[in-house]
Amino acid sequence: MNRLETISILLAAWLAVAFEVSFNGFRNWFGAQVSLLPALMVYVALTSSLPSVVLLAIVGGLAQDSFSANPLGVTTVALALTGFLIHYKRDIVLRDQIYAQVMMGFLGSSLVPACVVLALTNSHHPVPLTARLVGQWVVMAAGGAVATPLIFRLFAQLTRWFSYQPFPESHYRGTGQLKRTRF
Amino acid sequence: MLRKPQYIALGIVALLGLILLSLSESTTQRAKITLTGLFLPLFGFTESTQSAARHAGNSIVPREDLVRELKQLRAQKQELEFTLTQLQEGARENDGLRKQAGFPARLPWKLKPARVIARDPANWWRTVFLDVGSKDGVRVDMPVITPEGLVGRVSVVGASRSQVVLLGDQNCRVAAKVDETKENGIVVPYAADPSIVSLTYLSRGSPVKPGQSIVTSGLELKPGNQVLTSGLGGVFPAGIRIGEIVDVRSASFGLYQEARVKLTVNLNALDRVWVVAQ
Repeated sequence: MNRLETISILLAAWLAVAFEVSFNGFRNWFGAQVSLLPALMVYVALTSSLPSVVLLAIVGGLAQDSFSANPLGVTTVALALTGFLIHYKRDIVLRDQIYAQVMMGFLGSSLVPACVVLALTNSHHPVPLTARLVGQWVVMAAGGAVATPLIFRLFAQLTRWFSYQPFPESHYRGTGQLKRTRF
Repeated sequence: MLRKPQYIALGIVALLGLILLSLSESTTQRAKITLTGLFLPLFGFTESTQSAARHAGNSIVPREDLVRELKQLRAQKQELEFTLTQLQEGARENDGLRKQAGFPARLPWKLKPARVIARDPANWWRTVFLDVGSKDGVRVDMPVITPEGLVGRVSVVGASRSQVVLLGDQNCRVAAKVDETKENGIVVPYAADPSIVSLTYLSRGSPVKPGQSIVTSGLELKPGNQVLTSGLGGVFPAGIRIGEIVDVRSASFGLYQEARVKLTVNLNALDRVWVVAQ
């Protein structure tokens, strides 16, 4: 995990939470807020190392819970579980394919709220399991599925801007040299 | 199989989760308020962006519109001044009568303006953050209102920010009454629609026409009846508007009645609110 990667993950987590607490559009249009943290976790789990997964789970989860009535730490645990699961099986995921990114985004974005609601069900303030909650869960999963490929594109662009890019190989080949001959 | 670093990472997160989840309520709330401080630049940026947008919008409003609006506001101001004079006279008379009857004097509300700066990212809770805190005189359980009606109550207070739990959240229950019939009940969340709450534990009545209206203690609860705070819970002062009844039905095998109440305040479009310091 290099320094640039750490900073970019922390910044992305901060921006994701800032978006969730300040942008009200999805709530007005679809009746549920879309969370970007699970989609970000899918990206980190598929492309980065385990310390990055832990860092995102802790920072993102704590930031999100601080604005919420959730018990502090519950989102951290849910994000970490999702991140570990995807990171553990990442060798069998075709992460460069958009279809795989969408499906993993859907999986991650449905797993995180499910884990949080499951944890809350066993707490002092259980969440009532209603049809509306199921609808919100579907919106969150669908939103995460759409957001995941966008996050992959965004980070690919950032990597191109800020990382060392090796020069492409020359087309000049030894066997293709012009040979001086007599007329 | 998991490798050693993975076990360590899992252990770290599990331990951290256990520690955080076992913290006391007051410690958790302090930690949450502190953590929200990391987002102060965002709140400042949002405020300055909105103010710049307002400024830009103001500069392109035609002068005719401004003059017309000024005339309307002047007329409205004069009308309100007449109403205020009448109300002041009524209040003086009320104070005198209360004094004669030996009732304690009714204290005027002290209103503190506030701006909504953040919303709960979780879909199953209904809370917002305000830009006022303990240094502005805000305390836990103070009611939050808008000119349209009740919004909620302050649940957590930091130095410069506070969290408000909104009507319709499980942690915000309000003692209320129907204005027309003086029937008392408790406002609880209604799961299917965020713009509606349930007014429950209304006393049992006998139906006049099934599905239309119900006789309660000799008085009818009808759609359109106004629901106000009753002041019985000790948190919310009496007389703040909550909403109007949509329909009434019998609950718990006829033990009591429930009314669905449409809120007067659009809680999804909150921007400026008032904290009531009683």
